[in-house]
Formats: sequence, structure tokens, C-alpha cells
Amino acid sequence: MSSHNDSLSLHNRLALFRVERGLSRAALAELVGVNPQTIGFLERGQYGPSLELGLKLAAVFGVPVETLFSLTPFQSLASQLAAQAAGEA
Amino acid sequence: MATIVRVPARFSLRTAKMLSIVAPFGLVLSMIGGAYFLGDAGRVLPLFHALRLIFGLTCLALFIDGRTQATNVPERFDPLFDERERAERDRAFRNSHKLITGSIFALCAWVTVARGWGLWLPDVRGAVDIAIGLAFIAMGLPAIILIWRERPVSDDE
Repeated sequence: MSSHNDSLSLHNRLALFRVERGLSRAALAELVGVNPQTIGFLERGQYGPSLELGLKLAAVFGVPVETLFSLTPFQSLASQLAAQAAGEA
Repeated sequence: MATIVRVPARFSLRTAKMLSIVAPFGLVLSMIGGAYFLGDAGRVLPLFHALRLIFGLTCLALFIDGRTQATNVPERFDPLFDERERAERDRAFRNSHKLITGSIFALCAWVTVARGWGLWLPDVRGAVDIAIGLAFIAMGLPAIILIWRERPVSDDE
């Protein structure tokens, strides 16, 4: 991270989880108590959340925080599916 | 479930962006222009007085605008902002400090150079007017920075 909360190296799958659950940014923001714009900033990787906010978001989706956030880029869905298919074959 | 209380009395983003450009540039130009184009008996022309008043009030309006108003009151108003907004507000104030400090040093450098080379310098009254203009800009600058960090609400729906 270049500076406090200025996230350049924190990757997340927030948008994926949010869309999968059918939540709007405003609805998710309401659940974790932030401005809807903050969800947008998080999804675009323009802001790194505090530990508290990260944990709140993970709790909303019922997953460990490292499932949502990572210091290394997440695999794309296509490559995950390809790897899964290769494993099954 | 936490409920976020929204700060009241905000300009629309479009209006705020327009004012954020017009106010500081207009104020600087009217301050320097008033000090440079003096009327009879070295008095500031009424046009520049009017422009300074308009642009000064615009800076004041940006200062009062909801984007920064809670920065000047006790911490009990901090819940008006979430953690990202607080971080951005703090960064805007730090950047404002850098810009204003830089401007003051630039003005000091200009005075030094102008004295040595015989370039234009305002008289005492003109210098005071420019300092007042700088103070108004310093007041509005954090809000101006925040306005340009903000995104239209439609982007976040």
C-alpha cells in the first residue's frame, strides 16, 4: 500500500460476492454501515478497508476475510474452472 | 445495523465542481487584478471589490459545504463520515496545507526576486488584499480537493 488506506496491492472479490448475493452497493453499504460510494471505492481497489470493515464484510457473506481480500491477485473465474476441469479429468 | 447520518446542505457534485474551479481562480485574479489595476488616488476599482466579495463568499460556501463542515467541530460529529471519508478528509487537509505553504513560499520568493529585479510589487493595501484572498482559498481548499475525489452517485448504484 502506498499510504494508509490507499490500496494499490490489496485485491478483493467483493463485487463478485455482492452480485452473487443479489445485493446493491447501497444495500451492502447499509449492512456494514458505510457510504455506498465506499463500497465502490473498495470494489475498484481504490481504498483498502480497515480490519474492522474487512471483517464486517466477510461476516455479511459468511466467509473468512481471506476469501474476500488478498495481497496477491485472485485467479480469474475462467482459469479456476479450467483448473477444476483439468483436476476432474 | 449501523445507520449512517448523512451530512445535510451539500451542493450537487456538478455545482460543487464548477464552484471549485471558479472560486479560487476568480479570487486570485480579482485580488491580483485589484492590486495591479488601481483607480484614481490608488483606490481599488469597485468592480474588483465586487468580484472579491463574490468569489470570497463562494470559497466560504465551499468551506461550509457538507464535505468538510464536520472537520471543524468536535469528534462527536465524526460518525457523520465513514472510515474512507475520514481518511480522504484528512488527506485533503494535509494536501491543502502543502499547497498553501508552497504558495506562501512562492509569494515570498516573488517578493525577493521582484525587489532585486525591480519587478511589480503590490502596495501594502494590495499585499493585504492578496493575503486575505489566500486565507479564503485556504479555507475552501480541503472541500475543493474532496469534491474532485468524489464520484457521481450513479456510478455507485
